[in-house]
Amino acid sequence: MSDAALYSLLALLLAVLGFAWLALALPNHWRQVHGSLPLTAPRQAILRSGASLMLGLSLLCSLAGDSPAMAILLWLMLLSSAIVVVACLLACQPRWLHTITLLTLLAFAGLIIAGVVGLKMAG
Amino acid sequence: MGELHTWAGVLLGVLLFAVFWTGSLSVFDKEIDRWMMPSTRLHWDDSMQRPSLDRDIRPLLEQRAANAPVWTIILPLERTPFLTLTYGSEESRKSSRDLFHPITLEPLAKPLTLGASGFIYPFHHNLTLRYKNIGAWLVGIAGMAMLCLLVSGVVIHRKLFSEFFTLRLHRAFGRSTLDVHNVAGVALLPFHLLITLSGLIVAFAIYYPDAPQHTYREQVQSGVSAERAFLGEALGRIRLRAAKEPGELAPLEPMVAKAEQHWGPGSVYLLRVNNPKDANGNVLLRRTSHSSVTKDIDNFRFANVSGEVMGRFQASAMVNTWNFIAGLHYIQFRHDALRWLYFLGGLGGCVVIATGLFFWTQARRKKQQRHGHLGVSLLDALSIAGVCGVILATLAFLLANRCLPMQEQLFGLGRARVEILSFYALWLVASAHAVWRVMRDQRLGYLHAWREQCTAIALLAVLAVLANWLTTGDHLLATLRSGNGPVAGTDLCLLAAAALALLAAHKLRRRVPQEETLEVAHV
Repeated sequence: MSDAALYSLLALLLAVLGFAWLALALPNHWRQVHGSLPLTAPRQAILRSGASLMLGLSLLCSLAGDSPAMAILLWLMLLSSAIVVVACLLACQPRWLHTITLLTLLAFAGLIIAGVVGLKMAG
Repeated sequence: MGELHTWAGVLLGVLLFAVFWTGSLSVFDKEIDRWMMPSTRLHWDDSMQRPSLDRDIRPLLEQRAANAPVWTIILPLERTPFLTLTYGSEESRKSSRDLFHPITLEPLAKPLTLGASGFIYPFHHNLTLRYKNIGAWLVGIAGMAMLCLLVSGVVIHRKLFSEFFTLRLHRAFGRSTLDVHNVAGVALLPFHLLITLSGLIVAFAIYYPDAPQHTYREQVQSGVSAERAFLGEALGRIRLRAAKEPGELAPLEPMVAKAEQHWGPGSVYLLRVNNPKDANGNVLLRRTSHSSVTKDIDNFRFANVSGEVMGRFQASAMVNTWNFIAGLHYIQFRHDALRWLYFLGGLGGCVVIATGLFFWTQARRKKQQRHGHLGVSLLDALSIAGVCGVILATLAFLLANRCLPMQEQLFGLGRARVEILSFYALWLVASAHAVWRVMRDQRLGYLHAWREQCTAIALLAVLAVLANWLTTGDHLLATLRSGNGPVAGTDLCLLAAAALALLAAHKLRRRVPQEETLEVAHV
């Protein structure tokens, strides 16, 4: 697979994750996924900032794969697709959103640990 | 805002659907062309050696159109993998066109069809009503209506944010239709704004025909027409007058080499020789714009006799802004992922329009349960004819392309015309069927009409795939294995369309008894 295609796929994945988190930050959808567990203000803040971070990373990924004009166009189209994907997930398998969120957290934690370990080793 | 959304949608929804549908297909017009023109199912990529202009291509031109006032050479490209030569004739500007194998230069069998790029794409921007630009104006009005619909839709969607991702597919029919309309509408809003606005801007010359008159006053006073002045200055299109004295055309390869010094190797794809045998002629070179969104309209002009550079046109920053917007709309650059996303985004627009129409007639039907609802029934018929009808018509066009015998003349008409006639004929039949069904049973006829036309779509789509197999031998397994993307992709899309249409028909079939019990409950 070419680098450009890989970056586009990564951008799509990050956009889906970003919108999944954003959806969970909305009370209606939080209830759909977590039932009676309350959506506290800190939880909402974490979900929102995590979502912005991932959508930003998604833009960076598409910028890495294409020329700027095409990358921004691609990113906009990927955002639209991600919204549709998240809406379909919420409609059919809302629990998956929970799993996705946990997996994302784990992946990020793993990345951070790997980064720290890598730095220590290099140092 | 609600009224604006309703009226713009009801009045122009059907027209908008046709424009979005044909527009979505036009994203892949060259791929559909390969499906419709089996003799051009060839392979070309940039690593292959271009035929020599002077040694190979010039003799073909001399042999076929020695006295033509214009020769055009379009070199093979990835999405159009053949050599195209067109020649004007003395009598008319309308030129004839011949296609050749990109390597052997054998003439290819005439396609005898306009294909998607010759019919579906023009339909998208002018509905093939060329007289006084009526079609283009209608499309422009529909485009303005789409902008109104997008803005008013956001305003009236009160729970825009709290229900941003809400898609209740298992709830009541009306509820889920509206949810699909809302989610697809909101998710695709940026794309739909972009594509509608750029579509209107691309065709500015039709909507503001007098603009050059005001900008080029001085030139008009000195006797040049305003359009000519505009075309020359802004777009680099300059018309030449023949000297009526014989001249000999200089070799073409050095011209290409000189232009490619500036543009990069392999970037020239089109050469137009004006007045090839006259002392006052020129050779115009154009370049591809594969790697940028901006549609490149720059050109090099060489004197035909001396082979010297006569001029180089470089579009101004202003014109290139317009070219960027045009490039956004035409998506001719090399980016498969974006092309698919554009295709799906366009089809998403079709979904938004169709669900909008369907939701509106359903809501009206509920309100007017006790009265007769002739108006609603007619609107139902219009929606069915506009949504299923145009899809059926497109399938008839494809099916006619594969089933009609390969003869230049059929029933006293050109074969290409018969294909187009089948398009309109099936559209007419589908409309008649919708009206007949809806009028015969004003309560449930519309459900039967939707269901039957969905079934017909599935049937025709599968038949088209079969017809392609039987007439060309290129069945899906073969095209997938040999990596023939355009043909395999068209076949797969046809099969996907058939599956979706069957699913819709199935849902509608389950809907009929539910509706009946509802009606009984109301009485």
